[in-house]
Amino acid sequence: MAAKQRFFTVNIPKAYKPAQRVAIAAEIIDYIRKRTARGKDKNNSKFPGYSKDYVKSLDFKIAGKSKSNVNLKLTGDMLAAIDLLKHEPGKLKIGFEAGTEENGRAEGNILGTYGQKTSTGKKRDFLGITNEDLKKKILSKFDPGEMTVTFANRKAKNATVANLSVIREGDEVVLEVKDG
Amino acid sequence: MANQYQIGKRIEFALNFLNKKSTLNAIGKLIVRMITVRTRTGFGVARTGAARKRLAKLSKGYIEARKGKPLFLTNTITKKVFSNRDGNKAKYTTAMKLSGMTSASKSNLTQTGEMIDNLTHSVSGNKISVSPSGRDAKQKAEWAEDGSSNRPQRPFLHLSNNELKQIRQFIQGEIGKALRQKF
Repeated sequence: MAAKQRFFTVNIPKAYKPAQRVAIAAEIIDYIRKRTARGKDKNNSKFPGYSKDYVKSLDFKIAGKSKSNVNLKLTGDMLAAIDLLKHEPGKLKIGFEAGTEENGRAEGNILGTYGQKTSTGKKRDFLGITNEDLKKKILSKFDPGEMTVTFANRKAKNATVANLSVIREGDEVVLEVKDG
Repeated sequence: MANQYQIGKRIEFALNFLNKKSTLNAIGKLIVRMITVRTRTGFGVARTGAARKRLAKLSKGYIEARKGKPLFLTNTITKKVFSNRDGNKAKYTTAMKLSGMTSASKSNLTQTGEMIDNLTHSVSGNKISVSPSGRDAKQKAEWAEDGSSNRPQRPFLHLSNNELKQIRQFIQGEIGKALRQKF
């Protein structure tokens, strides 16, 4: 049976603009990769240890993995495949493309199935972030009020409150300095 | 708050940092490691940017040979085993000594391990090249990539979509580190 698409949704303030949403998602993905490398799941709990069979396996030896460092990294492909799937005001959808090999491997880790029909009991759910981490470690770096301001002409140095007019609004504000 | 001059300086610094030989060497090492682990775990890549795919399986006769049984020469069309002048089956190999990085039935381009162990990178200008060093290793890599009439192609010297992503992430991380340095 094909694996179900694995993703999670992050709610963020609606005030963030598209470029900021993309940047926030990149920060979240980077955070997930680094947290997973430290052996922690989405709730910051330690991953269960590798099974004896896996530790004895050829793949384990080939990748030069360590028994004590459970980091879900064999080739690094699975963690590299985490992506921003969709974003809209107030919402980010982060996860794996449906139908990919990496989505299947992520499902194995999240459900603890690893190719079996039922869970082996070793769930390693790495896909997500706590609300506290989101606020403290990610959103604190982004100011939703921040806006891009550009001038439509080259007279910015002559700008005063009186001669400025807004010619475009939205994510990018464009100002024009009026003559006279 | 950084002013325009400082921002320009930082960008210039980051670009210089990226073109530094030590940074390119680090990327080269990463590429060698990615190709080594991916190939040894049994996956190849047909063209740069494609998804990785399992390498073609080994033939039954070759698996037997890797297990230590002699491999007999067969006609690829009739599939009949060649005989010697005295009528005995013509042996192709004697027992093989396999590297610890493979098993008899695992298709991972590893027999003695020489070819993949000799994968190296070199940096010339802002270009990174990765290939096996040594004539034997190079020849084996060509055979694996090209295949032959009785051996399927097993392309492995390319970077997959996710490996390219890993390189991008590495570069982003390095630039981030460079930009955070004090000026």
